[in-house]
Amino acid sequence: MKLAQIEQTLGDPRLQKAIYSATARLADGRRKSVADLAGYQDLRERANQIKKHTIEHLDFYLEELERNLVARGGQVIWANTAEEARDFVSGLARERGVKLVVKSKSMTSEEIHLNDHLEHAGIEAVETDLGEYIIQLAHEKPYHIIAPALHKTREQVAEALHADRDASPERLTAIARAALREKFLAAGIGITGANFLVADAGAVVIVENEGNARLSSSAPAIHIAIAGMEKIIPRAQDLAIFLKLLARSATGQPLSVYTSFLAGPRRAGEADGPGEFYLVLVDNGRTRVLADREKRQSLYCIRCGACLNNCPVYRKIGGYSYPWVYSGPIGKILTPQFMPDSKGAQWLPFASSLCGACGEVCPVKIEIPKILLEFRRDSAKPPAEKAAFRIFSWVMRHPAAYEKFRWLRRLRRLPAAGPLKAWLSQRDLPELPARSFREEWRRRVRG
Amino acid sequence: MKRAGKKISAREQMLGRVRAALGKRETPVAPPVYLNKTVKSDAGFVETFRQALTALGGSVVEVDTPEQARAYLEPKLAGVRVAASDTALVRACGFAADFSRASCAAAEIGITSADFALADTGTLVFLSEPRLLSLLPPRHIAIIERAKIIAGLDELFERVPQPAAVASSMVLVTGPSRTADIEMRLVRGVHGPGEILVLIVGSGTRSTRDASGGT
Repeated sequence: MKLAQIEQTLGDPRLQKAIYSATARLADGRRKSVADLAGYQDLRERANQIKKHTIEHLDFYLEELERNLVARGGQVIWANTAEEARDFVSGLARERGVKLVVKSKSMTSEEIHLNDHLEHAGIEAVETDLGEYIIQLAHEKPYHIIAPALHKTREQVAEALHADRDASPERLTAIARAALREKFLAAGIGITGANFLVADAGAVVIVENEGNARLSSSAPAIHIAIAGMEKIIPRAQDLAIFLKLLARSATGQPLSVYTSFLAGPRRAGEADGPGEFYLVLVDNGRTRVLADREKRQSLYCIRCGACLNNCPVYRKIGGYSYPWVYSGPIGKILTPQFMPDSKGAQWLPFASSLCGACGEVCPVKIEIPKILLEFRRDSAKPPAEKAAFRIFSWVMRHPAAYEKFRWLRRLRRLPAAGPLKAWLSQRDLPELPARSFREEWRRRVRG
Repeated sequence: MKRAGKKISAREQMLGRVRAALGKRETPVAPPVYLNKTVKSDAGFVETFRQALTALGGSVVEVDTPEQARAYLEPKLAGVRVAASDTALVRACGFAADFSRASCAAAEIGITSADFALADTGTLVFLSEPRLLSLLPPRHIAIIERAKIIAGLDELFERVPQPAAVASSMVLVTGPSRTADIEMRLVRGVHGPGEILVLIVGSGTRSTRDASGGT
């Protein structure tokens, strides 16, 4: 966790309000729209079963996906690392003499730091999702999986777009539309992410509201989709389940505005579409997650953002307080697995009230609270803390001993000194009442 | 050659790690396909579709014949630059096919048909239409036959179990292009069309529409 960032976020009333109202709106939208969905719990269970099955036979489905995509004229690029994925993209751009690339929103491309890499390679890469475009102009990172610029005021957006300070959201959107339209029509390569990879089709599925992913995958001569290798589902027909869950969980829409099911390049007789189609399958740590039987379900995630919107911690500390591109509850379980050596990541599972909301709203039923507990169980604890909790546990289980420690209550507040000082600096303990329950019981019942 | 050689090895490395992580397993037997087939060919589809699309900011108009469609559209199209697809129904309404990239980029209105329409979400489904025609112009008009309206996603994937076998792209369009990226305020027409008008052609049971007052 980034402590300085947390302090700053908590101390900024405007930002607090922005995070709170945006997440409340998304969470309300989800709640209302899943209530209208017949058989919602059954669909969640089925989605979970399909994801579980696919992840447990990942090798089989990846090969099927590749076979089908190649048969339709596409190519699959296997990338062990972020570097291999980046190098493929810049290498292809260089080979084809492409200087301008348009990108639609993709968390995987954020994960592999594609934009910085392309910039260093002398290739202009333009983010085309409105929120991502704003973030790119401001040289920042996405604040939320599905609402990357939720922390920005319209004045800040106006500044980034060099517009009048009092320009309306409609006006600002029109300015961005005009600027980006030129880029779409001039770009040599369009890069997208993928919400799903469909094995029996050899297809990528992209879900969005603005139309920028459609443009990125349709206007340029080359389309590159970059996706984590876990995004796969077995059959096109499974989308009837997943599409119903994804948009509802993300924004509360029954379906997002655009769902593109793309299987290879333009075919003979088709009016338009890219002449070349590449799918970059990214590992970048995913196979390590796969090896952990308890936690491999983290790979079921379809990146809807529902766990962020419903998390009391995310809603206070916001997206930048987390050490990696994936924030909120899902970030808390992904980051320590992808970055086992990162010190900040190791404490993430403790930044949770264990309220369980994330698990309840997850459309594919990832047991996030359970995984958080597993991390806590397995974490290295200082010997003093271990000893203290062992004593505490014993005392709490032995009423006679507990009675003996009654005098501790008279302290009212634990002394903020020694090892307790650091522990207490991050915790607020409740005020104790004058008499304990046991004392009150004795007084009233036994008189 | 060098790149091809490197690709093969990355592939083997990744699949090797996947197999090592998962260990030995049985041949995969996927959970059964699940399509909810409870709702079917209901006469209320048109009304459901209208309500869903209207709620998203689109409009729906019913006419009996292509001539009526043309008559309805003519005054709206006077002096407006139009691009249109090469679909039988669009031609029957009197529009000449013109869907080059340049035409799509310059047009104010793109006119297409659709392969299906999903009643419960107000969605248009394109398998055979030019992609840019429903994307580049700021306004989109889709002229569809009444019979193209089906229940929803489940029926779509029942009728088209494998979209990849039909075309390189299947696109589902559910309302006008939109964003809420600036202070969560809904704005229509970001990159795709901000206006969608669907003309449903063909006489059929009108009872549902008449009962609700119609247009």
